[in-house]
Amino acid sequence: MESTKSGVLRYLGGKAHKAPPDLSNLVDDCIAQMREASFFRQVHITFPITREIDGIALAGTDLLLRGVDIARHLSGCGQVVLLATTLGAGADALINRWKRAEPTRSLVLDACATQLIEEFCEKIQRQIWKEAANSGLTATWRFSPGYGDLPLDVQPGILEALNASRTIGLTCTENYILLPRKSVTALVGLGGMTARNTGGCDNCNLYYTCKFKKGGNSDEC
Amino acid sequence: MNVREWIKNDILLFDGAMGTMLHKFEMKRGTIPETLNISSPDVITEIHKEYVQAGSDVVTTNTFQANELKLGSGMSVEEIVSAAVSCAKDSGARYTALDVGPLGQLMAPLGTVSFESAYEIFKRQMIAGEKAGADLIIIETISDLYEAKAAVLAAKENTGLPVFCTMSFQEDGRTFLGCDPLTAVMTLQGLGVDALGVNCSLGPELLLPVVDVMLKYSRLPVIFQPNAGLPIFQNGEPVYESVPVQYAVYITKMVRRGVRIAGGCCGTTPEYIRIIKEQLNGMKPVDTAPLRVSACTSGNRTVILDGATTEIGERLNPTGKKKLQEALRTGDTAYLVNEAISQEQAGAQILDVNVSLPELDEPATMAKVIRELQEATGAPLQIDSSDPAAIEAGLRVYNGKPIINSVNGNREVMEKIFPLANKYGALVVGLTLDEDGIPPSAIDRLEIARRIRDTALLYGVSEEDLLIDCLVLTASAQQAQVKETLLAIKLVKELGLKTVLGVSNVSFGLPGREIINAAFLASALGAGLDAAIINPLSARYREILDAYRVLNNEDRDAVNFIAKYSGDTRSLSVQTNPDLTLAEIIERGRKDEAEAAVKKRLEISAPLEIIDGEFIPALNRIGKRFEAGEIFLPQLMQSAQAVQRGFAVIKDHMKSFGGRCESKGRILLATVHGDIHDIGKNIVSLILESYGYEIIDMGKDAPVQKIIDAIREHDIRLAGLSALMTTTMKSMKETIKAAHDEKLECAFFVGGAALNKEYAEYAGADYYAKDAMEGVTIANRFFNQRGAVNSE
Repeated sequence: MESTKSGVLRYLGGKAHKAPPDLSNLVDDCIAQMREASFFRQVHITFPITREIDGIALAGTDLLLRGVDIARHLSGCGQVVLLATTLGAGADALINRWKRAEPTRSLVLDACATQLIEEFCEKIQRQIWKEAANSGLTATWRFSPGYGDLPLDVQPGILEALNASRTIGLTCTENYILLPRKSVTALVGLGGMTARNTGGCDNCNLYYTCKFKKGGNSDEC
Repeated sequence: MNVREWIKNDILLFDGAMGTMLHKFEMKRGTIPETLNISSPDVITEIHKEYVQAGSDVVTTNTFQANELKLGSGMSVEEIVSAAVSCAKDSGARYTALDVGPLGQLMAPLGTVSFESAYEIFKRQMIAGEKAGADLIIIETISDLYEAKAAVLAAKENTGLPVFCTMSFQEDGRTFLGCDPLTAVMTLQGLGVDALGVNCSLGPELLLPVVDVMLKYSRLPVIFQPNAGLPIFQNGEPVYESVPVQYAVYITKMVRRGVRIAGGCCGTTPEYIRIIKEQLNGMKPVDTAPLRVSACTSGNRTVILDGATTEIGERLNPTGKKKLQEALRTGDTAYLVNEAISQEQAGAQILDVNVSLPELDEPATMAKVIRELQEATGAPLQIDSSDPAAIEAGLRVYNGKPIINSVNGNREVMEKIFPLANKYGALVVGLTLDEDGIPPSAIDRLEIARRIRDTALLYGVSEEDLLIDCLVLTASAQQAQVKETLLAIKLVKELGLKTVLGVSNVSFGLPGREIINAAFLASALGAGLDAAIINPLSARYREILDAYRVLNNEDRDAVNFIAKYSGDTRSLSVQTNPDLTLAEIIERGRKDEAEAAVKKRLEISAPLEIIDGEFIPALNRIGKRFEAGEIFLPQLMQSAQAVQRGFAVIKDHMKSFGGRCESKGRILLATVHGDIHDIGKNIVSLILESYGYEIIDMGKDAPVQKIIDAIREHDIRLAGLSALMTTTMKSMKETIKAAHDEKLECAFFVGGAALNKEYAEYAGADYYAKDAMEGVTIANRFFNQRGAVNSE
């Protein structure tokens, strides 16, 4: 709970210990409300991969992962776990409810949702790592469309392969915005001897603008 | 025999999955399944035939997402639908159902597809289906009730085919968009579908409670088409482990409880259908005894008026309310939304919405306001107007089953309104008055109620969808008649109709109005009133309602009452600190105290002195602390909100002296086309407004042309554009280019998380704002104002 709160406050632009009581109470309240409004859903499926001339293909799908960053991320991997997570429409609805009447509350709720979906991804990632370890495989960090040079236009293909609109109610717009908004798609590579890639700022699409990035220290991010 | 006739006397058996069968035929992944109707019609017909041989009365066309959003520009909806219907008919099935699945993209307000475009997209499918010879339409796997409404209207307004509609419910008993089965039944039944029910999502066992709710309330045949359980994945392929026999056992069980239309969804095959057919063994439909209740709904909430005292909030009505009138005129939706939320939080279960002002386009305003309210509140709405066009505009964009306020005994009014109520499935308030006014006696009002009921029935509006308002005259002018209203309530209740009543009118012309109102409310409730139209923020009403719900055995064990009244209620009042200066109040973001402080200051200072001497310097100080990382963004926003409240007081003050509070400049803000991340733009809007700028807010996903038109209309010289995604930043460039092409003298500043100075230049923007405070700097410099902050 405390780590959730400090995560939320970091999104809101500061260090937790500096939060005045009013704000601290508001954040507590919003975290509780956001948990209540969210429906943590996820789907992940493992696909064998093959390396084609123009990218990495997922067997049985028409997904083709282009770019050097995803290739590097999946080097040594024979399979990939496609993952999609969402807090559901309730989270968006709660943020929107207060958008006009209480913009401050809306902003704090938005930050809470961002923190909660991040935590949920962490949890699912650990679960995937555990499943991989049980099969004697190592697993990479999760890599999302938009990181490095992996284009966002793979989103519809990922959702299709996971049947995500039916399984977790996740859709995407023509401009590849995931809806409901507080959702993540990601790829985790599974390999034999591969060392786990660490997460980091190098592959992030906010590399040039992120205010949490401090000299490549992704702990801040 | 028409399928409508068939379901009166027989169980109708649909087919099972199409997708699952296509996998068996080793359809190449990545193929859009709907294209196979053209490229491999034999395969599709073969699948349909297998289902017919297994016993399906109906086959469903392979057109789940044969919509223009999904198909793109390559293939025409009409070609695919036509080919699909041919494939289905070639199977020799008794009936061919045109399959219409969800759009695949979310509708507004959560997504970007408007209700009107959803309708147009569905319309193409419906028309093509009927033309190709489908016998019925099945709208299925729907999660958003609003989407179901668009599809049902598209089907009913453009074809003569029977319309079935099923929605998909998850483990929590709700759809992905939060709709529950009762709300689905009430709304779809109201919209006039021929059958409704449940499909997809889960295996049959987990869906039984959802189907039970539908059977309990639905007067229409109920459909049950679950999945074959939850799949496991092997090499990325779904594998269903369920056993057809078990599946069929659940289906038959529900047929015994009253399900009339059955079939399968994902994972089911002809084998499943064959076994269901075997187990049904010629079984005839079982009659259900659906509860007839008076209920209205929003998109995900139902309020049942039976057996409970219902509270309808009256505050969204501009009559005699200057601030609301002003908000409606200026399009200040924040004010309206605030009124809605505060009434809901006070206890209102339904909100009356009246937007009637002589200078406004009432139908357009009604539609706009309802859209805004639906985004902020889950309370069902009561559409209040005397203009049939405004009522229809509201009914059309409404998500759920609303109430219309109102008709009366005048035949002409009823002839206009009841067809609308019937078409959109709304409840109707009927006022006991007619051409001759309000009859003095209770007996005569009862007579009008009876006339309203008889006319309603003629138009297909049922008794439970009728709420009679017996009307009260003022105790000051017609004291003897107040009792007649109470008597009329009793008589109308005996007639078997629900009653509703606007309470406050009774005290007009007397002092201590709240005291009279409260006593009258208590008497009316005692007479059997079902729903009171009141101001939920009135403490006296609150107490009467809370107490009555205990006495009437609604608040069981007085749980709510005790929770509310056992503590020290005084602690609920806002803690104010009288020693804070105005500047301190702003810097601490105490927005509730700002109003009083500004009022007090206006006694000794001129408005401009307060703005330039207090508001702006306080905001500058707080802005600097934010830039230095000393405070959080919400604190900056609270301060801005406090100033906003202060500005409102100053504006009122100046108005009362016939003056105007001049803005420091007019700025247009928009989240560009294709992008829906508007939180950053909203922050910029709030901060700029607190600095005294007038904001024209175009909202999110704002089309280029709409922005251009608004720039021209409002004579905008500075516009701010935001985009969060790399994919939508291109819309910025397009917008700015369009403005240049049209030779508009408007400068642009841009911002957004993934943006930087270089991109801003590329997009053709004049300025790049990395955050809201920099937006202020840009605006100040642009409009050449004093007090620029953070001049680097």
